[in-house]
Amino acid sequence: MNKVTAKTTYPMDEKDNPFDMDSSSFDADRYLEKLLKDCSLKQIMDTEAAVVKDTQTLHSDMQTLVYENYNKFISATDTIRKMKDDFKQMETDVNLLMTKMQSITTFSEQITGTLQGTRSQLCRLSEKHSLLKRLQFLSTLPAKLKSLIEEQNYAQAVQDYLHAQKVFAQYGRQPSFDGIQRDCDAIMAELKERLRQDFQRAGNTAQSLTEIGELLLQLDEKTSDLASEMLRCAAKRLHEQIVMLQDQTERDMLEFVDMGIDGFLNDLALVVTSYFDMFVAKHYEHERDDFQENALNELNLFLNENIDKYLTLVQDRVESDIGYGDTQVMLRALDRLHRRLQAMRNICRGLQVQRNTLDIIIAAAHQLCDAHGKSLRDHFADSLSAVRLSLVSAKSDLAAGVNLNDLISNLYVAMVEKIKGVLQDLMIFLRTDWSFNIKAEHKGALCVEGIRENLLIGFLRHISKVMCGFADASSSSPPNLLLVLSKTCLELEQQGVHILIALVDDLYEIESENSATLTHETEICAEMRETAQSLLDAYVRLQGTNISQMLRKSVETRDWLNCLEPRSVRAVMKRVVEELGSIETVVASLYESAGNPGFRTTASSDSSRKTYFSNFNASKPQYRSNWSNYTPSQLESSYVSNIHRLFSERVDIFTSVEFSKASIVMGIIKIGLKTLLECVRLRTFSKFGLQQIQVDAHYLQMNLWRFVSDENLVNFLLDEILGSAVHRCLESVLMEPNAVEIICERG
Amino acid sequence: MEENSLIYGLELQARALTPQYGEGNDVCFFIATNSLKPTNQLHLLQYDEEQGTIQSKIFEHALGEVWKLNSCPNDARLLVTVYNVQKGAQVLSQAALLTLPADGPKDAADEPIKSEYIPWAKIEVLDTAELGERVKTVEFHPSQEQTLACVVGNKLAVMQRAEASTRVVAEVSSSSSGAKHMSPFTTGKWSHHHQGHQFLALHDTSVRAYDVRDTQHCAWSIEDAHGQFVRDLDCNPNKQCHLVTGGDDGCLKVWDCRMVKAPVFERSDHSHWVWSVRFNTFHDQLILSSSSDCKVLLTCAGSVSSEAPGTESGEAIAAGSQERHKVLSDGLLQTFDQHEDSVYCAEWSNVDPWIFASLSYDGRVIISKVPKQYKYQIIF
Repeated sequence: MNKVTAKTTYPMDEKDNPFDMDSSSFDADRYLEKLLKDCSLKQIMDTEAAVVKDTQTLHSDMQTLVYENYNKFISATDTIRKMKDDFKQMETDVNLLMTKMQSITTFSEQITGTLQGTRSQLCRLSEKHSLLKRLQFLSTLPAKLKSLIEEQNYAQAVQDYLHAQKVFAQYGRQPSFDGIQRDCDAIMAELKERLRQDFQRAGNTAQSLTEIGELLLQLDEKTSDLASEMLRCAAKRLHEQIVMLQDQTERDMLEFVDMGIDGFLNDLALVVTSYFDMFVAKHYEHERDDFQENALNELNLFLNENIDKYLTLVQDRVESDIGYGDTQVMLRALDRLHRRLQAMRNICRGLQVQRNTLDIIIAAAHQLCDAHGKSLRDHFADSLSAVRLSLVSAKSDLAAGVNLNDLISNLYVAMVEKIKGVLQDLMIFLRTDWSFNIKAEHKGALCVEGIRENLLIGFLRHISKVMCGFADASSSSPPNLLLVLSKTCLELEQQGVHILIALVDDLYEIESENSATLTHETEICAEMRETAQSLLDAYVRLQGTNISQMLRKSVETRDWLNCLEPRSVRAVMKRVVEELGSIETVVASLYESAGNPGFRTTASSDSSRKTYFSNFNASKPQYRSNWSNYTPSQLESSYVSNIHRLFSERVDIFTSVEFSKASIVMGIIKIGLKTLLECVRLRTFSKFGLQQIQVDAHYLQMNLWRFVSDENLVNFLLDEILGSAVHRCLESVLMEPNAVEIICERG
Repeated sequence: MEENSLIYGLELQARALTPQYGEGNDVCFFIATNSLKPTNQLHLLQYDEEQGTIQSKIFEHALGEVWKLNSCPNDARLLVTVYNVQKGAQVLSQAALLTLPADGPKDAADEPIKSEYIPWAKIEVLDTAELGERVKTVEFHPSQEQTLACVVGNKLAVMQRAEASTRVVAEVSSSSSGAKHMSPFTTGKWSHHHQGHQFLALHDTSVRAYDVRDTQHCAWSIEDAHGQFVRDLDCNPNKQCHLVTGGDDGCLKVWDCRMVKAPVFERSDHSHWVWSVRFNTFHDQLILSSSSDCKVLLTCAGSVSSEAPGTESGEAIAAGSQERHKVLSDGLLQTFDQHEDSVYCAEWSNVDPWIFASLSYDGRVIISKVPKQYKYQIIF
């Protein structure tokens, strides 16, 4: 019912607008006044028409509404009248219900009254029953505890006592209970005493110790005291075990370790675990906060101390056994021990076992290495003296040359095999089925390298050093020994060292090629070669000296001024040649000459010498010694030898000896001839003295060429000898070359 | 190396070399030839270091071939030679004292003389006939000018020239050896120490020290000093009781005569007989040795020298005046191999500690110097 006109025409404030026809504060007069004032006539006319029209519309609307509401009022009046009739009937029904309920209430009150007495009686009875039961338990408790203790069923006794304890706590004031409680306490105190004694008694096993500890703990023993007491007792007991183990010297290692594991370690483990469970894992109200931590520390200390003791014992045992007993058995025992300790490491959190069985094993390996090293050295010394002995005893034997090879191969093979055996023996430490792995640790890896460095290389160095000692001029070793040792060194250098080092590298998987710290194979080879060389030099020097001695004596003792015309070669020259022949035989048996086999000699009998001589004449007819062409007039000139030297190349007489037959024999010959030269230069000769030298030199020339590869050197030296003799001669007249040859051929 | 050495050649074989002692500042050596030909020579070589030349004065040694030459430590003009003479079917060894002409008139040398040789001022043949036929060596006493030691055959005698007396001090008894050929003394040398009362004689493989005040008084001896003949010896001039020997076994050994069981130092670098061994007078860690392997070796035995640190201060004479020098490490320092024949003599100069001369049988004298690097190592 909005007044459309007013709204559209005068859009003003919604409330209190005196010009809004719909508003309650509408002021007709002001509206009209305003209208008249503001609007034109036309607008006023229009407004009037609109107002009239609105008024009419509102009027008809009101008529319709009144009519409709009248109808509704009529129907409502009808409904109210009907409701009035229904309510009257309901009132009677409700009155009836009320009377019936009243009668039910009275009946119920009657029943309750009758039952009340019986129920309260029942309640009292059941209460009394339970009380009586408890009383009975308490009264029999002392007796029961006693019998339980008699039966040694301490656990049950403690259980019961603890149970009763609660009751006493509740009714403790009553005098009758007090008696029982006193009895019980007395019994339990006794029990406690007994338990404590048991706890401290030596013979207990760790198992019972733990049980007793457990019980004492329940009986309110002071935790910290008990903890330290427990460790003290356990330590005592473990010590007894150690002492017992110490006496087991006659058992083998495996049994020894088994005993240790079964007795000592198991007990230790039990003690440790129960201690851990009892004191470390649980929390105790009445102990200080850091009690658990302290307990753990103490346990750690205890554990390490005992393991230490035991392992020291084991180590002592290993040290005394290694090298004597079966290494495999020992390692099996150590392996078992290692496993067990490994397992022990894992039993409790927060516990560390510092000492390691690996250290013992590594120490054992080291020790075994040393023992093997020593035995190798001993063996080497033994075989050396054996070689020496057989050389000395076979000295008279003509076939000495044959067994030199055997000696060398015996010495060499025995040595190499022995080393191989030792290396194989030590491999046992690295077997893959052991629970430990030596190489995994730095110390262990060092140990493995030690096998290579200290054992093998050390031994090879030892060999070279010992052999070098024989090369010393002061050591009076038989010459053949030097030869044998030199050859052995050479064999080692050429094969043995390589084989052995390759073997050890292979067996122990050592990367030696690129290692900065490990000794390289070539170093050892060089050392061996050096030793071989110095031994060979010593041999040549020694043999050369022997030859020299013969020649020197022969020249010194003869009166060269007053000797007769030479008729034969002097005996000493023949002896020298024979000596050289036998030396050559010996050397040839070791160093096959690389030259043509047709010239090889086996013996130096007279007949063979002759054939060689003819052979020599046939093959080298053009050769004539320089001096054999000298005429006496040429010899007068003191320049001859100098001029000759000028045109001949300088011959280096003293060069190092090579590892060949010719070189070795040549070295000896050179020393001998040089000595002869020096001796000749110290004497003065008569004509016949010179001719004797001429004969001797020719004889040497005839015989020495077959020993050497380069006969020019021999000829050069012989020329020098004869040249010097010419210089030292008062009347230098040489013999006819033909005569010399005849004398020489005659022998 | 090469420019360090100077070669002087003789026409004849030679085996005697000795430095000229005396006050002079020139490096001088005597050498003498060893030839059966009639004219043996004796050369006085003077080495001029600045110009690198050798000047020589040549004397004739008409007495015979010279085997051994010694010059007097107190008189530069005096020297003694041991030579061979032929007497019928025998060869005898004798000794003579030779005196050089006074150096006075300079022009005397320039003036042409009829002989090619300079004449001697005095020649005195020593009377050794009663001692034996084979004079091995005659040694001047290091301080007493008039005293000579003669090793003749198996006898050792001391001559007092002032008194013209000769006294046999020692003799190797022939009865002990028993063999028909008994080995005589090889050579000998005065000991620098023991107030000049000891003479060291070499006999076969042993060294024997005789006290010359007594007869047949062997102060000490080293038996079997070498495996074979002992060829030469030299006393350490700066360290008492130390001597070096060289032998036919090619070894060089330094001994302390208070401990004769074993040498204190040993090398065997030579491949044949060692003919001479010499300590350097100034730096006794340097030992010169020559051998018939045609080599001259310079060896250092620093650890047993008087220059070694920590040596007992017994040698107060040396320690007081001499400053300490660096000591080289032991062993072979240098090989000199310019010789082509056996080197029988090698001698240090008594003037310059870094110069030495060596003489080989073919008559070649080489004057060499210690390589610079060693010299500097020792000096600085």
